[in-house]
Amino acid sequence: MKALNKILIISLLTLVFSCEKTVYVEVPDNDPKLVTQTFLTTDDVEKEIKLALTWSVPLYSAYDYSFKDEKDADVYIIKNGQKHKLTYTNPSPMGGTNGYYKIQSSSVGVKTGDSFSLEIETRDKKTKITSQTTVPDKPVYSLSYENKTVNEYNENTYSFVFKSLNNNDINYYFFICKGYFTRQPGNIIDSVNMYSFSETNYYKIAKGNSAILSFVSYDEVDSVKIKVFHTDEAYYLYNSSVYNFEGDNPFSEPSPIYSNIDVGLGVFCSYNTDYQILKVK
Amino acid sequence: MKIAAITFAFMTLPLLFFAQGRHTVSGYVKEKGTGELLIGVNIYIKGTQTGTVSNSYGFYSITLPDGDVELTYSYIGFQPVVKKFRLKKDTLITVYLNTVNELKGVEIVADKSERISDDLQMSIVKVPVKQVKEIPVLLGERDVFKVLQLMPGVRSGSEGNAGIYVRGGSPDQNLIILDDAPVYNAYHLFGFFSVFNGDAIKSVELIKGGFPARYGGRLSSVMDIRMKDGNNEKFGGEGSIGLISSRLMLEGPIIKKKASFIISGRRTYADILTIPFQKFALDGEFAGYYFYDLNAKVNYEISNKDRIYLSSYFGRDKFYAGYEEPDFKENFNLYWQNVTATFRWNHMFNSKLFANTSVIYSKYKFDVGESYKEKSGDNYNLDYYSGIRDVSAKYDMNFVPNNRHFIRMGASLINHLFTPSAFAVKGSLLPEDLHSKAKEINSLESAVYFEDEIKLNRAKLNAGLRYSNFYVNKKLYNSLEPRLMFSYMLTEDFSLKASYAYMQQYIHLLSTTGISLPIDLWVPSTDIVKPQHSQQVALGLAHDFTNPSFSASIEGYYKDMRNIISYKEGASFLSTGSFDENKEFDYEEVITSGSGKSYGVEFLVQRKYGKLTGWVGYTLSWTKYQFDELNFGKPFWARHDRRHDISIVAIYKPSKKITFSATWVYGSGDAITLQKAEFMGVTHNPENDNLFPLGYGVYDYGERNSFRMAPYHRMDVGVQFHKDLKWGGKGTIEVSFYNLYSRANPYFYYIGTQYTNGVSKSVLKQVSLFPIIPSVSYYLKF
Repeated sequence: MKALNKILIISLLTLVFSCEKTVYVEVPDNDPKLVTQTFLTTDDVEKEIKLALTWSVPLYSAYDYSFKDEKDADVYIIKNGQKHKLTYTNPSPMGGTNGYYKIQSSSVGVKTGDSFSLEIETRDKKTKITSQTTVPDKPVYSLSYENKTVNEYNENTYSFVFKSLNNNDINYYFFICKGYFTRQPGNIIDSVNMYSFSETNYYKIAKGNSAILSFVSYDEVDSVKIKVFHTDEAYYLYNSSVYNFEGDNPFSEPSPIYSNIDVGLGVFCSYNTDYQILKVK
Repeated sequence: MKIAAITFAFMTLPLLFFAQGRHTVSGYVKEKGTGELLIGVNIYIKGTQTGTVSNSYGFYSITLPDGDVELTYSYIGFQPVVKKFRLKKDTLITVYLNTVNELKGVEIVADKSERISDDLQMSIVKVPVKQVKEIPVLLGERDVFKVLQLMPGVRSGSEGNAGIYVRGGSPDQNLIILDDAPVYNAYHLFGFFSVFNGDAIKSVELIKGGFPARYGGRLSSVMDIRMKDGNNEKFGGEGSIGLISSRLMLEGPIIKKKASFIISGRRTYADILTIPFQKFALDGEFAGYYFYDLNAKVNYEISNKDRIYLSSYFGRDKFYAGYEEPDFKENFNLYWQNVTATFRWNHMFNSKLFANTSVIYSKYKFDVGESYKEKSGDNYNLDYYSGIRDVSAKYDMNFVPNNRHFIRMGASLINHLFTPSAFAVKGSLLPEDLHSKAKEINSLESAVYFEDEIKLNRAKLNAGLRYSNFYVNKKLYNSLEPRLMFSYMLTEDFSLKASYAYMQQYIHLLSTTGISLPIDLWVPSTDIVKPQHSQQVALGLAHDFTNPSFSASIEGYYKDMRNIISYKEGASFLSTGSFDENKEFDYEEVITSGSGKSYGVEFLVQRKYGKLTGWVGYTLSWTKYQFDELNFGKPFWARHDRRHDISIVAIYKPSKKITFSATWVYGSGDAITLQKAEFMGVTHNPENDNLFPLGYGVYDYGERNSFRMAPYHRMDVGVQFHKDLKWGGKGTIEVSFYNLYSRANPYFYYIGTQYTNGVSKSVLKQVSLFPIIPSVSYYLKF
């Protein structure tokens, strides 16, 4: 498929560059922007709030694509009017050279239904970005095992019916699944991360509606643990847009990346989790 | 309820039939010297509102009071004919019109009934094929679509592109019919030329709104193209030698005045446009491109009441590139082809009732392939294809009970066979051949319609109803589509017009927005993908001026479109599943549906007669889409949204031997999605509730289609030298310049690098296709 893709691109370029004349175009609104990403959840799940803060690189300026940290900014998460300052830490758990800002979740107190504001300002006071999020309810749902199918490559696909019971008209979910089986010899309990057979694990489901979840494993499993993330809309839109991003592939539709950051880029969003274990054998 | 309404309409028809002391004059109108049936000829009694128009088969019918009658037959570019006779019984009159030579100093002034103010149909563009041959075009390749693009409300895709966008609609919303057969990809050379060979075409009519009930199946326009029937009196032909192609058309009688044929073909050479490819001939690389097409038609007049036609079109484009070494050869091909065939039977039941029965075949297919072959015999072939095939039958009746009513009714049945996507790999190097499951989707589309054109003194009305349905995968859709057109003569040459049309479309074209390759997929509505439908209202004024003779019109329109489809963000025709041997390509997974609205105002000032002819057109318009799954649900401009569109066309014939022509066009820039910046891709790691760096950057595009390309403008000029040849033929040499002032118009943008004093910087570059392009062609008519 990639070979065909390349050939199509080469053919297209061959055709159009045959008569090309190049001019330079001015692009408006081409200054670097602050970019931040934060995924908040309740403090009983995650002990630390982590926030990435970098600068975007305008494509029509200096030829340098490294994403530089903004290490010297005042970063606050605000709850009920009370500001909680995050501090910069380096190196990052993300790896590479980028650091991150952090604060203990318990010192802020992140509970279901809490609303938070984000306020970031550079020390030179030239750039200020803001955003808001509200932690969604814990997932309310029913989940049942449907069936298992095996294809010619011995891939086991386990299907489940998930029904949304959260009290919103539209709910956003994300799922991961781990399978457990007994390895022989020795009766050792082992586990495997199961991947999704559908295009994406990000779901938008109306209250009372159902969706079929399918997870695949080469190992035949005895039971599964499905972790359900009930997310806010920003989490869903940002993560699914990044998932859809195809870069410079001219055959794909462009996928704008969602942002809920005022005057900046990225996302400030939240989620709540639950899990369920189901026997499938 | 619906059935009752239709039944009532049919039952009340007989009430219209009876009239005392009146008889009907009917027959055909033909061109003198060729026998070609003429469409749209005005037949009327001077000084009255009494008149009619010949239909698509040259047939007319007019009922008049008994007594002395003076009937005028009038048609643009032809000498009017007046027939005087005493009417006592139903009479059959076939009239021959002579072409007029305006250069003899006679300036033909529009007759009342030819004026746009007198025409009930609004939002219509009629392109005289003669003008198609006079307007300067790219590389001398005459093209009806290029002329249509110069009309208000109609715009092209991009530089040099023959694609047509009508009143904010996408190209799949245009019903393009050639002798009743739908043409699914009407473009040659990646869209630079249309498939319609001007030598074989008799008439072109584009309806942008106010659709009569006889048309259906598309939302935005109907392009009705009729092929010539062929000269049934003497043999003749036309030929031309141009820079990129040569053409030859032959026509003549099979049985004099009874049966005739026409055959017309053209083929490109591997020259100018392929010269750049030849550079790759070095080091074993090769590439090339060609297209050819063939139109053929025969017709036979069995009797005064019966005539049959058989017409066909075949066209094929092929682009190839590859690499050859002594011991192996690698080849890439992209081809697309259209085939249509139409059998028609005209039958005149009586002087008031005319019917046409058509049986139609149409097929479109594109194919992308790659092959590799070693001298040892090892090989593999990869093939990806998509297409649509139609077999249909259609029955249309024209009934003219009296001069106040012109009734049209009919029915159609179409069997569509879609192959949205199929993939195959074969070869000796593979353990076994691979075939994806080619998902073939069979569907049935049917329709019945009824429309009545009613004349009420100063007012005219066309009220129609169309019922259509579509059956696919055990799912049945149906739709009742009301149509209404109204015109009112405010003064003798000034009219007010209004129209409403509900349109339903059961098939969709899944288009890739970023590139201009013929890789768009025709797909049907299903239980998941709903049929698209639209409502359009239009209001306009039309005025004819007599001294000098020209017409002016202004029209405003509003169109609401629902269930239009698009690829989801990040998806493409090569999306997952299309290459999976075990899975049918499920296009429903990669598309999303939404709505659109388009509104605007169109102005047109046109002069059709005299030494100086042409028009000035201006369109002010807006086209916006809203999809829940695109642009995060926020409305966005359609890529083809164009705020201002201006076209000026002038054709000047100072003498019989020379024709000057010039066009100038201006269009606001397209709306595109442009990456402005890149930033670190960080997402959520659900395994450990941590930040998850993707390891690559993602783009900041801003909102979808929020960047405007540079405006487009261009001037073309041409001059034709005509000469009567000693042996009776006519020769024309044409010299033209496309893009006279060499404007660098945008074709697409890409990110490039600029080096200044040793420092590199990424910049946005614009690629333009055509600078000033001179061309010389020679046309010969014999």
